[in-house]
Amino acid sequence: MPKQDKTIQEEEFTSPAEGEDEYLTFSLNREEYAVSIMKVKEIRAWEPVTRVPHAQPWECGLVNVRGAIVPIIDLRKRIGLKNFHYDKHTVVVMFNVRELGREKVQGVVVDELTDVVRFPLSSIQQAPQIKKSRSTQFAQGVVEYSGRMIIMLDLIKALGIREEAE
Amino acid sequence: MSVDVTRFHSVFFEESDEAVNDIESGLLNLDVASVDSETINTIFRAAHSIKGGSATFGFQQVAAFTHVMENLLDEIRAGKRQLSQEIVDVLLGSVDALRLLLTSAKTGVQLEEQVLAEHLVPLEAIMSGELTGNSGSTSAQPVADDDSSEKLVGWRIVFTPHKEMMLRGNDPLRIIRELGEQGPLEVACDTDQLPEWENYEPLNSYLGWTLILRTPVDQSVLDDVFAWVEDECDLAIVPIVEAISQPVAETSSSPQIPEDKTKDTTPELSKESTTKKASTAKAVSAGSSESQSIRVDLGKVDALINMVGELVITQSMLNLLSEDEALQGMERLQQGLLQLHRQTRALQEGVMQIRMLPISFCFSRFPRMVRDLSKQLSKDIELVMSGESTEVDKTVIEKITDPLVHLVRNSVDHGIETMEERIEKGKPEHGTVWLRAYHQVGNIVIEVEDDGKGLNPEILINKAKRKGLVSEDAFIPDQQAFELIFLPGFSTKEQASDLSGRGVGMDVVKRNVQSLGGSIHVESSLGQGTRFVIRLPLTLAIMDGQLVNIAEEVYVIPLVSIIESLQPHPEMVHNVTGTGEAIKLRGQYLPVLRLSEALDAPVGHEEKALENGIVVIVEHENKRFGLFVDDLSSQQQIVIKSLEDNYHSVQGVSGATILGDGRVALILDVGGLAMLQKEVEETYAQAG
Repeated sequence: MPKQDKTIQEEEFTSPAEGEDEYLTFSLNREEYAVSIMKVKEIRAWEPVTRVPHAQPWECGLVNVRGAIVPIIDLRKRIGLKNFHYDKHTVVVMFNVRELGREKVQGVVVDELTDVVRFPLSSIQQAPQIKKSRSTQFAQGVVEYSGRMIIMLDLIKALGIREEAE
Repeated sequence: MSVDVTRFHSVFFEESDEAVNDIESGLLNLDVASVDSETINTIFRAAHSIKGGSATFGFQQVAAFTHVMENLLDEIRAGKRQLSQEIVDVLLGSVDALRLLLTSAKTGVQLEEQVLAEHLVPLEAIMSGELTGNSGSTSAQPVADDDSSEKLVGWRIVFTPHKEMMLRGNDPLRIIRELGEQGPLEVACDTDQLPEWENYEPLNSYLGWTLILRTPVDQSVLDDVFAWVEDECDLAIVPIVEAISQPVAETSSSPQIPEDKTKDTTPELSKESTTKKASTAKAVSAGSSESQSIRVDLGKVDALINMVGELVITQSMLNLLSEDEALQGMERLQQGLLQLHRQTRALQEGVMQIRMLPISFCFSRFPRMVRDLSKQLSKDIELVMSGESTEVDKTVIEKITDPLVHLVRNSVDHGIETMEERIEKGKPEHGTVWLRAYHQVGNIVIEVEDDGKGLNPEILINKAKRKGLVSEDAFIPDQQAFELIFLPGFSTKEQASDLSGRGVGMDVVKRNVQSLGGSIHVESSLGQGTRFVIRLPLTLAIMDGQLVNIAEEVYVIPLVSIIESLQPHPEMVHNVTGTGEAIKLRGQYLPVLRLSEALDAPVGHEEKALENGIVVIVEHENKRFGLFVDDLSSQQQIVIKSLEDNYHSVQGVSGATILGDGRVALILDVGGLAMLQKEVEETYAQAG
């Protein structure tokens, strides 16, 4: 389905400059990350979660999104950050993902939303393998955008999505 | 214009399944000695509607096959043929073949002719005896048949408009005229439906026609002609074909089925005579106006149920808010909220009712099954069913059918003794299997009982020991010995029989029942019989829950598993070798599981002594144990939500729900917790 998303996106949403896609960017540990905006379902403020027993440390818990039970993960914990807190300014981005052929919704806690930007797919470069740090293992590539370096987040890896066997 | 009929296929298959079931139950109800004409009519109508539908949708194999059945039934109906047990058996066999054919049409997987022929040969053998007496003249074969020596010469169309057809602006005459433009058309009108003059309604259409079109037009042409009225009439379009090598005259004058039937039976059997058009049309219209139900896509119903679930949550949220002191004085608001509460419950119950079906949907297969099995085993077994109209959720029915089949099969195969054994024991010669369903406090209870040999606890215990399922020196009371049959790897018959030993054990039955949130027990007395009691929730979407507080978190325990809750006295509490805790309740030691530990409570939670909290006694698989919680909260009806929609399953948790304040609470899975408990209990057993 991701492929189909892309075609819809190209045909209908990027009219100003052909071949450009829109991305939501957010900061994590003072680095800027980007995710295709087509994957974003909604953005919510942090609300208390229900803890799940025996969950992964970065899995915060479950929330009720209009009657659906949605898990929230904290990307900050996922990439190994420490010293952060949750308050009403904490942002949760709800993503539509596809796992094993089924549509799912997952929430992700990030530091701060920064921007919505446009750039063509072709401007994404391979991520430099600086070191095997936690923060680079979820990088799909990097983009140079008005003097900033933006890391393309590998949503599949970051959310721990099981992919269909090809 | 061509209408895509494939979207009607699922309806056709559903209806056909029902019709096949009708035929089957009708046949089973037939008493050969005194034939009830109404039963025969019912069977005939069912067969006919399958034929009509399958012909319309182009499932020629099905149409051809049902046609032969229909002919036979028609002869019985008309009194031309004496019904015998043999015929009933053959017809029952053809019901099976029909199921196969329908499945093959549904899945598109071609059925092997061999399989079909097995059922066709006996059917045909019965028919061939008297068919010569018929005056019909046309032999027809399906065009779908790829035998190249057959040639399509025309179509036989039985067209019976529903009464209301003309009210919708459709004129049957226009259709017949349009057909006439295709080529030479023979028309026979059926006036059987014409009512008495005083009952005559001039706006209704009472006529039916049998049309024979002697032109090999494409079926799509005919489909187009009838496209506008296909929902408003009973229509059967059957192709007329003939063998190229034979002159037309010969075919049309020799309606007998050729004697050589072993090879390529399918096309031959579809040869038909056109004698009974009048009676056919009559039967069809009689059956068309009976149903008082509508077919609704299950997805729509589920969406509605979900929505009502949301409403219930909102309503309980309002209730919670109304407890605020500032609002206590506002009487009219409070009254309104109370009313809302009642109405929401009523709405919820009503909506849940939509998904409820009588259990007869599941039970209806058993008379046939028991009949066939007992015949095969040369046992004389009567099946007595009760409570078939007990209603239960559709999903429950779907999932309980296989376990029930297994249990009934077991009773018939292993439970009931052979006739000789029974006579020897002084029991009545014929065995009885009871199948009962009834409601009991929010549950449906299904019992499968037989008056067979019963379970021998000694044999069961020895076998379990031999297989290493229980320890050698364990003492097992009789009741618990019966439960051994539910252990994985336990099968009471040494030799897997053709009937019951299909690799599905009682453990699978138990697992299926438990996956529905139910329980199964077995009672037995040696030499007198065995009884299985299955208890299931009426619906899978809602349940009564007890909210409990554990380490400042809220969890839900299903009320159905709870026996009692208590705050233990210090003298009731026993520590077992430092690892397990137990309480002594009315002389019985019950192990206690600390939920805060089992649920991995956050660090910093202070463990209390048992006497400072509440022990909730729950039962799972006839075993009781305690769950230690900090405090009890309210009891309420909760809407069960799946964790797996967006997340994955969690051990010890069966699902989640949304509380009145909008927060998520996890529903504890007593069965899963029992597994955790087992470790504690085993420690306890070794020590004590």
